[in-house]
Amino acid sequence: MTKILLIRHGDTDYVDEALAGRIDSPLNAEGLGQSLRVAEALNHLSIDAIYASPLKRTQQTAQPLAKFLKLDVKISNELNQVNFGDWQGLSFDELIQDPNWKIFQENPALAKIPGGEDGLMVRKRVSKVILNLFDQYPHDAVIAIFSHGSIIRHIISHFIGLPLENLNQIRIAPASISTLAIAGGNGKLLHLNQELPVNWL
Amino acid sequence: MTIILLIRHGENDWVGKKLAGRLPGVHLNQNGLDQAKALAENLQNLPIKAIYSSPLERALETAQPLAQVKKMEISICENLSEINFGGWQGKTIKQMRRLKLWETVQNQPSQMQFPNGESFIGAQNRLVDCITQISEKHEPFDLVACFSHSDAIRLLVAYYLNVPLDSFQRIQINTASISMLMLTNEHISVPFVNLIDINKFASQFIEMEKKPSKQNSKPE
Repeated sequence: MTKILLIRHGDTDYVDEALAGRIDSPLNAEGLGQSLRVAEALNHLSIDAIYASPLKRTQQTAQPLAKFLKLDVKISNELNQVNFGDWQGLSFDELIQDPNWKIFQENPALAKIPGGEDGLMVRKRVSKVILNLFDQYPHDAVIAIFSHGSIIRHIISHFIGLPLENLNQIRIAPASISTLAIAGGNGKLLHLNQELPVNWL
Repeated sequence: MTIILLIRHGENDWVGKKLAGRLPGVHLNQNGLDQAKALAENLQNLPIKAIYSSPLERALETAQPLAQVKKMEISICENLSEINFGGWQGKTIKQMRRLKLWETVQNQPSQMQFPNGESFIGAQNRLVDCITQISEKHEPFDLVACFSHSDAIRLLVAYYLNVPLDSFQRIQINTASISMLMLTNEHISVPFVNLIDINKFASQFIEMEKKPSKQNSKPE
């Protein structure tokens, strides 16, 4: 049973403020601290490979773990954040003025992102990358993927059979860990949104 | 409307071997008792307003240490009980695998009716009714703890995430794990599923690795 750890990048100055999309914003101080905690939580695992999106914030989050395990961080364009088109860079205060944004929040299957990628396109590219990984590592491997909130939501929802329109039911916090296994063609969700540290405890 | 912690009971000797269901006399083993104690320690500083539990011993024994440190009563909810597996109760995983309906349980649970027991659809309705009733008893953002069972929690998480019933077995719920439901008037969400102490994340993960036979089986 090959398992995939899905780790969202740590905090940047955009998180909760504006839609970064593919803007290459780096981790802030809080985010760099989170990247160390991710490494601490996972460094006992025998991880076979580490993948990250082409953006700085996911690679920076992967860095301490990669260094500890002496692994390269492999860059995958398919793990890049959704292309949010004209919405990219807008603050959430600005976005709520756009009626399409409201539709996108309520039902991403029916929303058109102006100049961007629609949900089905995203789902296609992310499911392909995961299936390729399971092909490449068929036996009991552990793969760590550092990517973005939307991408992790798409991966999880695709493999647990959650309809695209319910994508936003899933919450993925910065530097959180979720785990997916594929057995007998079916995905299995082992953990969802495991936050570091468990801050409400 | 309420924030609900769904906590699976701790380990007992039936986990991963036999289907305990609603059989009486299934108690926590030493590891399970330790898990219950650790849960109480981790949760004792939270503003928990009420503790609910399934009537089965293993759930009550898991709730006990928390109730003790919080000096609270445990309210027993019949509807938080495990699925009524009818004639399947007490069977080993090996025996169940040979049954014709095993395939239905695995691949089309929405069609499954356990002989002399519940259907998954009936069980899901019962559990959702129970959670709705609990949430109506409390103020917005009250935090309550509900001690229950793996299939029961999986059915609830699937319902509130909108995962189809046929896919509910794709959600894993470990012993003594915590999942959260947030039920407000406008919105229902599932902030996290199968949370375990992060310090134990690696060891639990490795533990799962050692028991690949469990992956297709019904826990308990």
